[in-house]
Amino acid sequence: MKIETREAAFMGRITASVAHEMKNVLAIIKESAGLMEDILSLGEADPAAHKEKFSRVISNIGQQVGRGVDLATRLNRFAHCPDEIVSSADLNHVVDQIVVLSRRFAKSKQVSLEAGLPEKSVILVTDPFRVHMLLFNCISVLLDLAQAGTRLNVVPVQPDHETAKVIFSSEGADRNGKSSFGDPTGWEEWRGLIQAAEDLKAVIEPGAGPVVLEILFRKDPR
Amino acid sequence: MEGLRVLLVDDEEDFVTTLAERLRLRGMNAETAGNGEAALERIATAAPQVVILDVMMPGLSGLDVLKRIKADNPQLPVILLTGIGSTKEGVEGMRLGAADYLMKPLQIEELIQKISEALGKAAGGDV
Amino acid sequence: MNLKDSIKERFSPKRWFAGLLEIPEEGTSPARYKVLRRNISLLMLMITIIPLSLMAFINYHQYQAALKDEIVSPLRVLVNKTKHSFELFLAGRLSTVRFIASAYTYEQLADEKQLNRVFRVLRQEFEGFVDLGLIDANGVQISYAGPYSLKGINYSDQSWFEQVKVNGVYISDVFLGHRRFPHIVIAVQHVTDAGEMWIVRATLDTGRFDDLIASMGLDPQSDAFLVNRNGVMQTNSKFYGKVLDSCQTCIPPVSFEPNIIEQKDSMGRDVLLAYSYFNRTDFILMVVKPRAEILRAWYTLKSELLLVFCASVVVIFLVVLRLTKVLADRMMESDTKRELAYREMQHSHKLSSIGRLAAGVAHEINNPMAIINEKAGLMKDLIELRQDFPDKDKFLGPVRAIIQAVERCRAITHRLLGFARRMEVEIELLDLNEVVKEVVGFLEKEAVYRNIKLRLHLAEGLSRIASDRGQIQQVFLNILNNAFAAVADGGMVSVATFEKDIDTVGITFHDDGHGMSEETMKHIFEPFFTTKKGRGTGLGLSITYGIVKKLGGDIEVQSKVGQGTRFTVYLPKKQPGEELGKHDGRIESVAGGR
Repeated sequence: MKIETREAAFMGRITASVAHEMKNVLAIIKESAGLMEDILSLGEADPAAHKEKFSRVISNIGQQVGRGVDLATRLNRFAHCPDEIVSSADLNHVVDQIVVLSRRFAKSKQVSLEAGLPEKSVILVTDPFRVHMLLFNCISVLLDLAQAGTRLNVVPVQPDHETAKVIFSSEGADRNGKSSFGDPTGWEEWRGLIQAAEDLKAVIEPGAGPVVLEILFRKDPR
Repeated sequence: MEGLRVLLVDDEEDFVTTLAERLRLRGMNAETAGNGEAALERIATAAPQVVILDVMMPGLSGLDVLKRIKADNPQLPVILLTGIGSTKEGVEGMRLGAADYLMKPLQIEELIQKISEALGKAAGGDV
Repeated sequence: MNLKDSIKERFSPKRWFAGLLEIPEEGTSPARYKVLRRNISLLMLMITIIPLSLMAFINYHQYQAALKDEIVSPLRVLVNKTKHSFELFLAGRLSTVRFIASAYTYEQLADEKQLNRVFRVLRQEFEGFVDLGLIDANGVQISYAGPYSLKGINYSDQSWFEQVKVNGVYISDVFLGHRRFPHIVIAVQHVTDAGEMWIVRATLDTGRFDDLIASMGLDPQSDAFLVNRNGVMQTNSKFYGKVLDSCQTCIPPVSFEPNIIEQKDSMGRDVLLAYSYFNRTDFILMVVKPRAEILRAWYTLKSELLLVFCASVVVIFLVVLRLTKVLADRMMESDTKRELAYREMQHSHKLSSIGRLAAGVAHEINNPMAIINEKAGLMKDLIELRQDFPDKDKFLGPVRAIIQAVERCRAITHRLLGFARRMEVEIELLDLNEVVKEVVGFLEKEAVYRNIKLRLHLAEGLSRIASDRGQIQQVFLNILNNAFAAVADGGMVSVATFEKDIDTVGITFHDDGHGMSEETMKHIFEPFFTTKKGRGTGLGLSITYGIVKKLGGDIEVQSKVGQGTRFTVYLPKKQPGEELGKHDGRIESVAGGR
């Protein structure tokens, strides 16, 4: 498949995922409201008995609203990724964003997905959209290989002044089994990297145990 | 805060009326306006002590209303309400003289906090 | 325009040159670069070789002229000087004889003892005199001083005697005398006041002639000699004969000024002949220089010039061909890179478009969320802030409002989901009206916000077309965004769809915004052209144009400043040469509407 199609597909996938989650949020809110409506219209004359319940339901609705807004905010941020071909971005934010946006996929595989963000920002000058896509592809690959009930960690690291790394590791991973890729500078290399991340599936046997994947970035390829 | 005259300006009726009701439950004298013109009229006639203003409105935009308010009533504190994707309008509003901005959906406690801060500033603070 | 003019126009060199500078614009095919290479090579070769040839040609002739001058002038001067020397010598000797004829009386000269004494002194002072004699008016040699016995000889029937009597002087050509060596005779007539006439005759040898010629300092290949007007050699020549040999070919055209001519000599060589006729005598001074000798320098120069010229031409050829190859290769490389970059940018733009739609949804969903939040908050307040638990109606309001708001959100979310699903599919059967409505839907909020009137005139039963939904969305979105940017708040934007012909559908986007000038309209589809100062990449319409073209369609624009703009997009119903892509059941969802 052409890279352009895959990129559009990636955007579609993430957007659809957010839309689905939003639907879930809305469903919960609707149910909660529906419940209250039922209690009020069908229940006994004295609604005071349900004061406790109402408080809980209302609180729940509030939480869901928070979740929904967070989703919308993330979607907005993600949607603006392709706007600049080159810009500076905090790798921590990107990892956080991708991890949250990917959680739904992880949940369906019963894998818990966590980001271990360091305190200091890690600034990259790069194509933000493609970084998102690359990280997502790596997570996808590892999710396919991970066993249900395990954890997948995504940790950005700054080994030195010039480079940044993102380390994806399955729980209890053995660091000796790692694969590392080169750093992306030109777009051709981007394609190679994204391709490589998908090809990784073919190289590592499913169920072969924990795996660690490192992606190395040069912080400013200019 | 008792009897504080608050003017809420937002074109989303359900939102603004509910918020007004909530403020009234807390003892404030809350009124609403559905657009910029109505808001300016209200300010002229009812003299609110603080204005809560949505930035994304059709017709006269929130920022335009803010400019007009600040032109005629520079002392009147204005708190802006922004949405997803209109944060920069909030920042711009601060530059134009708004006391603060909050993102919708909001936590009412936060709003009340910001109102009292804005009043405090207007009363004793920087002139 | 008549036939002659039209032919002139067709084949004019100006047009041909202009043609050379034109490059076929389409794509990056190798043919384009071959043509480019050929054209540039030709041009470069022409502008280098033509001036070079011209220069070589001019230099050649200038050198030729200069060299000739260099050879010729000195030669001329030499001939002149030598001729002058000869004439001076002859005039000098003539004066001497004349002096003798005038200074002495007839009696003195007739006295042989006195004549001998004069002769002795003469020989001492002046080189070359062989004898001296006195001849009376009758032509009889009265007295003689010299080696021969010429006393008593009568010269009256000899032509020179007549000549002397007429001219007063006589200088003879060279002849072989009694002793078989060459000499000349000088005779001078003297007439007294009383009418007496006598002639003094002297013989000179031509040794001085040889000296004079030797003093010319000629190179071994050259020759100089005297010859008389009948072609008889007067001095020895190196190549052309001895004294008194006849050299018929030696008689050049008459010229008393030094003249130089080129001819073939008796040996067949090409020679340069410098000569001059003597004024008072029959002699002609001849200097012969072989052309090869003179022109050796010229020939060397000529062959050097030719060598340099040919070498230059070869070098030029090599350099030009190599250079143009490198140039064309670089151009192709950079064009390819640029096209790649442009495609990337195009693609990025597409993703941005999609992003914009998604972002729009995110913005939209915020308000109903805020409503839900407030309603829930209100209910919380009712529970917490009032002493009594309020009646159920007080609660039902907010509850129902929440449900409504949720519905609103769901509609938005559903729309988001719908278009997210379609991002992968490439070619599918589209109902353009649906696509228009969908894109317009994304801009509805802005329209309401700015009070812009959106009008749709969608043709009923418009044929479906096979195309790329995402790309068409992008096109529509871009044009509509521009329309929205152009209209003032309260303005009007309308979209109409129609069937243009059996193969094509058309979509018109009309706005009553500020419009464009003729000048602007010419450039709007160019990349990086923008009228938004400082903002905008200027790429939107150029990418839109590219997409429409790629989809096999066309795009037109009409506009009037202050009145508005109309964009018309034509799309083919079928993609040329492409089959329908995988639709895996989604056609149903499209057909059934979302």
